[in-house]
Formats: sequence, structure tokens, C-alpha cells
Amino acid sequence: MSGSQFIELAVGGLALGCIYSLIALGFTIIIRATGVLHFAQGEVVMLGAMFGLTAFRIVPLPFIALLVVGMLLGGLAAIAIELGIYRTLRVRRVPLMNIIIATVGVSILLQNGSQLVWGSEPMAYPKLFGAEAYALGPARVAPQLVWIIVLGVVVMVLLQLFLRLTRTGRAMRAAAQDADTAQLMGINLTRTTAYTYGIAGVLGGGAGVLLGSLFYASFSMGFLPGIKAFVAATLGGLGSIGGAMVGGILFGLIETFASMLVSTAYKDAVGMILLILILLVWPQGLAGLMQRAR
Amino acid sequence: MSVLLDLQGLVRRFGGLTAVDNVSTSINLGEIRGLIGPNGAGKTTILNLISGLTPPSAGRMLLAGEDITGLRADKRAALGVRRTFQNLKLFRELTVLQNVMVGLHAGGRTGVIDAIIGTPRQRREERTMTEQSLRALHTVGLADKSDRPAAALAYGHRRLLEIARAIVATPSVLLLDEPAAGLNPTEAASLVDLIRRINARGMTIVLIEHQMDVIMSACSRITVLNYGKKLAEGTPAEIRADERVIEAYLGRAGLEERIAGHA
Amino acid sequence: MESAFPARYLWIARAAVLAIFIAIPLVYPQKYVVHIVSLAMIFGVAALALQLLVGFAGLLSIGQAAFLGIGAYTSGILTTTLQMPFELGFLAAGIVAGVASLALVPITRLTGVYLAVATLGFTIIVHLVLLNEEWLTGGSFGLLRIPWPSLGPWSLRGEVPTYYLCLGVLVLTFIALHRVIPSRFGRALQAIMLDEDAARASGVDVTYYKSLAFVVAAVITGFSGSLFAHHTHYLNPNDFTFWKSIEILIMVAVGGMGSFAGAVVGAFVMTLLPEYLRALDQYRMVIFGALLIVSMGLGHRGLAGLFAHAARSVLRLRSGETAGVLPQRSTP
Repeated sequence: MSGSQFIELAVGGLALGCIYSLIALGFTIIIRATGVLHFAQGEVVMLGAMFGLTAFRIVPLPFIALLVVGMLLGGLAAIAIELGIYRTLRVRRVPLMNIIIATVGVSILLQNGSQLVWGSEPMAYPKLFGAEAYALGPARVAPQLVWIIVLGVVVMVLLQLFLRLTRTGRAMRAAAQDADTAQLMGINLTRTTAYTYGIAGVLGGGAGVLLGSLFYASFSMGFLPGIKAFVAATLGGLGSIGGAMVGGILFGLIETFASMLVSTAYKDAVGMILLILILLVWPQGLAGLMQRAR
Repeated sequence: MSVLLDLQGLVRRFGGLTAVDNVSTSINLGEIRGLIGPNGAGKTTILNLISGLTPPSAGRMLLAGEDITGLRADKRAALGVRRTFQNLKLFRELTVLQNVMVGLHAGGRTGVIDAIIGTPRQRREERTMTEQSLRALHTVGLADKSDRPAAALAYGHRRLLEIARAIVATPSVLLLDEPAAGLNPTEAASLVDLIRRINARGMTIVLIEHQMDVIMSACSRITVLNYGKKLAEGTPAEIRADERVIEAYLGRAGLEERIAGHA
Repeated sequence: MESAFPARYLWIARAAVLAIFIAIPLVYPQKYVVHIVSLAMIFGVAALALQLLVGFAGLLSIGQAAFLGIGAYTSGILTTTLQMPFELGFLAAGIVAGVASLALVPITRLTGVYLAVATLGFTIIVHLVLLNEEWLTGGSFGLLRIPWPSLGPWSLRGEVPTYYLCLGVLVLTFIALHRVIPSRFGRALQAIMLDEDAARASGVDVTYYKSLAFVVAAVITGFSGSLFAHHTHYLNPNDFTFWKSIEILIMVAVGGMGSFAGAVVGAFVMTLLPEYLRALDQYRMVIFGALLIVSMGLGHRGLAGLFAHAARSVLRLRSGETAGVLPQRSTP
């Protein structure tokens, strides 16, 4: 592999990884706060992509605006689902497994609903980036990839700032650590859970716009990235925010480089085998390793 | 007097905290050994070490001369080390009888195939296990409640059920973790009587308790722990009189009060 | 864990249901009806196996599709490529699936979501193997011309004989599992589910029994996979993705945790409902998703709980007890 090839693959892997990180973060904050494996997270990603594209068709906006639209609407959709469906189930005190299966139902609902609304054909995102590739040493890198990396990192940094500095963010973290105590201290659990889903939706929606601009938008686009992001989150350590970020980027890199080296048929298997190995050896993922090293 | 359970230099650390700090003691066959100390002294941790729920950071444990330090919890149970739990760990959705029958699991031989086919040895084993379990329930006084779900029992009866489950396989060592917690004086006295009866049948008992009248009346020897270390060891009379114990744990006024109640 | 019904009523209900199932091909001889009910029964067997894992051992497994596929392909390959009789294929399906499940032994020390995710990964790997090892499985072209089942000298050619074979396997599995639960093995599983530490302290080798639960469930699922192969006569790896695992899990959840009858009910609902919804054409999956969400509101006891609740009310009214609201009438 030549040096320029390596750089190009690395940048591609990083961009993909940033997208996975955003989705993985969504999974992670939901699992941390509620213990729910949100099967519909991939569909929230898809909704972000669809909403972004639809917005562009109404008003030709610059890319950043599309990203914001996708994020906002993704967040709103997620909050609506949480308040309308999951909270209703929680009020009825159904076991956790039922809620997880309900997320499967939501996933089916959203996928097929989107198919009805937007049709089965994949839709292309408009060309919003310059056609000229940046030069990175000997390598040529598409500006889109660089944008994705930059925007992805910005969103992740904003998330960290939000969680650490704002009252809502700190309330969310408290509730995730110990819901009962948080409630006793006056934190409104319904609101923090709604915010949790909302933020997961914002992250997912943003990832959707980025993903859509990289490939295409279709009703089934969220499924596979959702699974992979989940593997990435597990790799980083389920429940660890830093782990989700690192896991996503690592997964993106591994996947991109592996597709060069392994037969494409077993490309997805790489992820799965990795997943099982991790669960066996380090069930806490990378986050667990870091903790032990301390 | 032969030594049944030998603890040699047991240490258990959790991160920066040393819960059990170099504790050694020999428990003789037939003893009722009391384990007392302030909260956080390491009593339950010692029980967890003996039963195998927690591995030691250092030290050894010998059961009838055999080193059990590396043995898994279920293997120790099969060898005859049984216990109850401070916070009650019953199988809530099983019946009283079924709870006790789980205690006989290690001695059984039948498996899936036996169960599906319904072999003669399966029927025999079920019958024997049922009878043995009912006898254990009779000993603790719960035989009439055998078909109730464990969750439906009153608190005091749940404590008795855990004891029944622990004694049904006639263990050589029985570890009781605060069995009198939450019991009124009548129930506590009845418990002491039960402990003596079980001991008379040949089971060596290690008993953690905060209620002093239970400890003083039931135990033949007492080990006192403080901050994970062994502070004192001796007969109830010796412990009552031990200055260090009184200072660290009992408190002069409180001790005299409690002893007055017992004597 | 115990049914709240007097045993008498339960047996009457079961006998009635069995009679209905025996009668179905006679009352509705249309091939389509017999075919779909057979399919529901085949998944019923798989759902029963999963209920043992999830409802009685507390092991959340999303791995059943893997064993379904392993069983199906084992039976399919043995009877087509190697020309072996169905009985051998059927038995081998269970055995191979059981042996394959030993790969899950290391993950038995995982709990909750981690365990589920590991079984999910296993399913995906098995699916990929089925898809890519074309020399063995035919890959995405599939495995074709799988013969009808047979039992000794009797060939079971045709939808109706196969139907009765599936019914037989379902009934035997149902009975077997009901005998397993009150046994030493069943108690050990439930003890592990209800309190693992207490189970250990009582002498139960937790790892061994969790692994054994996986093996038993895999063997049963392998058998149902064999039936699937000889019922549809064609196998495609895409029938055994992790979505299939999730469908089987949904069957158990909808039917009610801890209820074997519920698992079968769930299997019927999940198999027959999409067929009923076919009339709704493009809206059918949307409605299916919505129904799934709603059914999760039934809670822990699922549909089985719903039926039990309704039946108990009926029985109470019948026996003359007032439900507390009805006024007493004096007979003239």
C-alpha cells in the first residue's frame, strides 16, 4: 500500500468513523440512562437524512443548514417517540425487554412508513461540496470527507460541553448514574429521559445527513449503519461516552482498511468476530481497559 | 477437638479498602462460633470468603484439612459449606418446597433426559428430595406452608425458609448472616433454640449477629472483628469482660444493658 | 411460576386445543391453510425452546435463528446431497445444532444486554457462513429440492401428513418441556434466573447449567429447523438472519414470559398475522409495527396473561362467586 493510498483510506475511515461515533453516542446515552437498546436509532438516522433532503428540495440551503435541520428534526422525532410510546410503556410498568422489543416495532414502523412517504428509490443528495480534491501530501482527499470529519468532531465537542457545563446536561448525567437519587434531588426524570432521547436523535439525525451526503438517502439506509454503530459502541464499552466516540472512529478505520485486505464477503464478519472477542475478553470494551490501567 | 474450618491469614482488598486484614482462626467441629463487630468490620466479607462468593486477596482456607481456597462456590456447597444471606436471597417466585429442594441439587444425579422420559430413578430421586425437604421445613416449622410461593411468606418465615434451604443437605458448616435481623424477641429466642437443635445434629455453625442476647446465649466461642482485623477471641464470658471489645464495639453502658437483659 | 388454574381446567383446555389442531386439515383442506398452520407450529417449536432460555433460565438469547439455520441446512444437505433418509437428517439437525451451541459456552458468563449482543454476533456469523460457503449450502442460490419427510416405512409426502408430523413434534416438545421444568434441571435453571448467587451457594454449577440450557434449546431449535427445511423444500440463508432471531424473541414476548402455551400462541400470531395483513398491502408492515408496539403494552404476562385473566373471570362468574360488582339475585 502506497503512502498516498494509506492517507486516502485513513481519511475515508475517519469520516465514516465520525459518522459511526455520532450514532454510537446516541445508543450509548440511551443505554446509560434507561438500559434500553434502541433498535430504532438507525431509523432516526434515516429520518435525519430524509428530512435534510426534503428541506433542501423546499429551499436550497447550504450544507451546514441542512445538517442543522436534520439534527433538529431528528431530535424532535426521537422526543416524540419517547414521550408517545416508550414513556407510555414505562408508566404501565412493562418489563425492560418489552420496551426493547417496542423499539423494534418502532424501527419497523419508521422504515415502512418512510417507504410509503418517500418511496423505495434511493435518493441522491445534491453536490454541496467543491469538486476539487484537497491535496494532503501525495494524497488527494475529497473535501466532503474533510467537512464530515470537522463537523462530526464539532458536534461531539458540543455534546461534551453540553453534558458538562449546562444544568440539563448535568441533570442527565446524574440521572444516568442513579435515577432514584437524582429524582430525590429534584431532577425531573421524565424531562431528562426525553432530553436523552432528543439528544440521541440530534446526533443520529446529524449522522444521517452526513451519511446521506456521502452515499444516498433511502428508507432502509439506517439499518446496517445502526448495527455497526452498535458494535462500535460495544467496542468502546457500552455505557461509556468516550468509548462510543473512540469505538466509532476505530470501527470506521477498521472497516475501511479491512475492506481492502479481506474479501468483501466477510467484511461484515470482521466486525462481528471483533464484537464477540471483545465481549469475551473485555466486556467493558476499551473504556474498561482504560479504567483498569488507571 | 478437631479443627473443621481453618482460616489462615485471610486478606480481602477492594480497590484501596482492606475489608479483611490478615484474619486467622480455627473453628472446631461442633462449635457455634459467633462473629461480631461494628458495621463494616468485615464480618459478611469473611462469610463471603468462606462460602466462595468472593476470592481472597491472600490467605488460605482449609475444610477438614483440605485446601478449599481455590474452589468455586458451588463446589464448596457440595462439600458441605452452606449459608444464609444478610439481605435474604430466596427464589421468590418458586414455592417454599422448591426453594428448599434447590438446596439438595448437588446431591442429585438426574438430568434433562431423566426428566423428559420420566425414568424410575427420576421418580425415586424426586420423592426422596421432596421428603428430605419436607423434613427440613418441619425442623424450622414451615412444613404447612410448603406449597406457598416464597414471596408470600411473612418476613420472619422467609428467614426460616433460607435456613431450611441451607440445612436440608446436612452441611458440615453452616454460615448464618444476621439470621435474627428484624425478628422480635420471641422469634429471636425461637431462633436460638433452632440453632442449638441444628448444632446438636452435628452441624458446625458460624453466626454473624448484632443482637447480643442471641450471640451470647447461642455461641460457644466468639470472634470479634474491628476494621477487618481480629480484635479478640474467646468464650462469651471472656469477650464480655474484654476491655478492648467493650471499648471498640459494645460500649460500657450498652453492654451492661444488653447483658442484663440476657442474664 | 405455577399456573393459577386448577389442573383440571388446564387439561381440558389443552385437550380442546389439540382436538382443534387435529381437525384443522379436515375442516380446511386448502393447501394454503395447512401450509401456513404447519409453519406456525414449526416456529412454535422454536419459540418453546427460546421460552426455556428466556422465561425459565433468564438467558436473553438473540441466537435462535442460527440454530434454526444450522438444523435446516444439516437436514437439507444430508437428505439431498447425501441421499440420507429424513429421520437421520432430523436427528442430525438436532445433534449438529446442539454441538454448535457449545461455541456459546464461553459467553455464558456474560449477563443481560452483553449476553444478548454476543448471541446476536453469533447469529450474524452463522448467517455469513451459510451465505458464503456455496460449496456446502448453495449460498444465495439456496438449497433446492429438499424432499418430503418420512417416518420409517411411511413416506409423509404431502402437506397434510407433514402437518401431522409438525403437530406431533410440537406436542412432544410441549410435553417434554413441561416435564423438564419441575425437575432437578428445571429447578436449577429457575434458581439461576431468580438469584444466581443463591443458586451457587446452594450447590448449583451455574456455568454448566446455563450452557446445558443453551444446548437443549439449540437441539430443539435444530429439530424445528429440519421440519422447516422439509416443509418448504427450499432454503435460503436470508431466512436465518438475526431478524428471524428477533421474530422468535417477539413470539415469546407477545405470548408472555414463562408460559409455554404463550410461546406457541405468540408463534401463531407472528406467523399468521402478516398473512391476514396481506390484504392491507403496502400498509401491512406499518400496521404490524404498530401492533407490535401495542402488544408490548400487555406487559410481562403477554397474551397468555390476557387469556388467563379473561378465563379466570369467566370461571369465577360460572362458579357463582360474585365479581364484587354484580348484585346477588335471590332465586324465587
